[in-house]
Amino acid sequence: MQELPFNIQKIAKLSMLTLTEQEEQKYETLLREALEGIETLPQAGDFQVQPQVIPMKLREDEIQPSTKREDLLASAPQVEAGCFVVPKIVE
Amino acid sequence: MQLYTLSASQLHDMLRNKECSAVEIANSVFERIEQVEDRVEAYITLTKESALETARLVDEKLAKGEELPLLAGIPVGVKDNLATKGVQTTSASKMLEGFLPPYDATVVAKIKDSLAVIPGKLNLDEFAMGSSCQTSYYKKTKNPWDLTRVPGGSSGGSSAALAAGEAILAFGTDTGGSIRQPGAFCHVIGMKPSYGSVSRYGLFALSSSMDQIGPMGKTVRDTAMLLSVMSGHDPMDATSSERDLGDLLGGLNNSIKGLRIGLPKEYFCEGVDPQILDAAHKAAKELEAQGAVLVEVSLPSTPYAMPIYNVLGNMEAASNLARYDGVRYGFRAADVSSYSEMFEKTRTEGMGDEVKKRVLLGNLVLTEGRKHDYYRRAKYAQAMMIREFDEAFEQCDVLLSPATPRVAFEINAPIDEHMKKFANDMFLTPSNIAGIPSLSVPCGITKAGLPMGLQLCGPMFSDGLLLNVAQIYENIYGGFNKMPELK
Repeated sequence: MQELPFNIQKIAKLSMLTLTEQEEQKYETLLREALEGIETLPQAGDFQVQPQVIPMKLREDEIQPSTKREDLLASAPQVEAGCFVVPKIVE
Repeated sequence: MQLYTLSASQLHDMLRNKECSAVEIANSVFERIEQVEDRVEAYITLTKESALETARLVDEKLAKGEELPLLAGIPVGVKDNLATKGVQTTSASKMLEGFLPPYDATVVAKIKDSLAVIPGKLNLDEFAMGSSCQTSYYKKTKNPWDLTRVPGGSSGGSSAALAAGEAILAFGTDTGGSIRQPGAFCHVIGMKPSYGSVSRYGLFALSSSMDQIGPMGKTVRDTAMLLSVMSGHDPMDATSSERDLGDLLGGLNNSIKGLRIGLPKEYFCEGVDPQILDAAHKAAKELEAQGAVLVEVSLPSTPYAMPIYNVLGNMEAASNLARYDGVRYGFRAADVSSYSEMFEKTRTEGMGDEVKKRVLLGNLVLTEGRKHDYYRRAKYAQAMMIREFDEAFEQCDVLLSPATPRVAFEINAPIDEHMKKFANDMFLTPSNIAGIPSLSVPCGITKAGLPMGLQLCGPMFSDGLLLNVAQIYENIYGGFNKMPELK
């Protein structure tokens, strides 16, 4: 199978990372090396992915005591009126 | 005799026999930390005050004749990707510098309930990504057996602290070998329990389907003690199993007569350090002399382990690390004028190179990777691997192999062709992929004075059996608790 084409700038954008030109080249090389190994995986044919071996057990949808708001806000970079403050989202 | 050189089991008995106090044990460990930490660099954060407070509480209870929980007064180091309430927990990343979790990880809460003493938070590769403990933002941990070499990773702080006497027990975490490989490099025991047997609540996730928190100790009994406290169902972890691991301490010295030990031929291959191969073969023979039966088995999917991990592990990691965005906690970049700029600048400045590489690879697999069906191919290979383990366990009860293809390598060693072809975790990652329990124990020292490790794996929930076999081997070996002279 031929090499997987990809655009490192697009992947960086999806990863929310900014790369210099040098870093783009570096990571592109590293990713290509990893893909070489990944391409040795056998083809899956009509294999159906099965759920995890141990089934996940979800809790009942009941209100339980939880972490206090002030504790959750304590590590935030910027807080105001009980909310996380961030730069403008919408123009 | 220095208290920090003793095992948890010995200290447990000495406390109850009033041969020492919990404060004396804690002080011994902290004095040792003062002596060697500038050279070993195992800890990111020390918590001496709270440690001594707990030790004093243990001594008060002792004086009143109260019964003590199992780990009371025992110094247990906590890997720094495990939430510890009110204590800086960084995952060795700039992204979480100064972060004080508002809660304890379940395993931390459990050892606190057991009145263990926590000396501090142990170094790791950043976000548990690595096998050398050199990618931490804070410091590079050294191997106490040779300070020019790595202690292994990502739980390198844990293995180094144990080997140097800076902790009596430690937590590690293992996604692709990160407890067992540093255990092998530092002559300590490291165990990755059956997936689901230990709650992941409070572990800063790397790959949710493969991460496991596990015990590390200087003896098998110590390791079993810690696992017995930290394991168990937890409703806060949806992947936590309701199946108990049973009595881990009671059966340690059960006879292994008739036990079938499988030797996977793919793990005894050319390219592995000949001294490690010899040591593993010798260990197998010694167990055979105790009545075990050796069986050759085959695990043909072994070469797929690293590609499977590269696909599934990194996809999950990229997803799990998307939460580090500077909004609610941790590092936020300065001088940002928009929301998206905040995300990108924060993550670019806050994450190290290895982390970026894995996030990029994960997102590549999640997007363009669909064109080459990577996810389905990795899951297919995973299913094959699990089936091969199941078939092997019809022929044997446990598997034995070298833990790693090489001993601890030099710090800043270049990644040569041998390292690329024989990955540090190549024999360890399969058990993460299959979810089965696995541990590494010391099996000798090379001519150059470096530790070698042996791996034992078993079927799901056979953790007690693995510890039993490990204990029998430790009896033959003459005790695993050996501390190097730091030089």
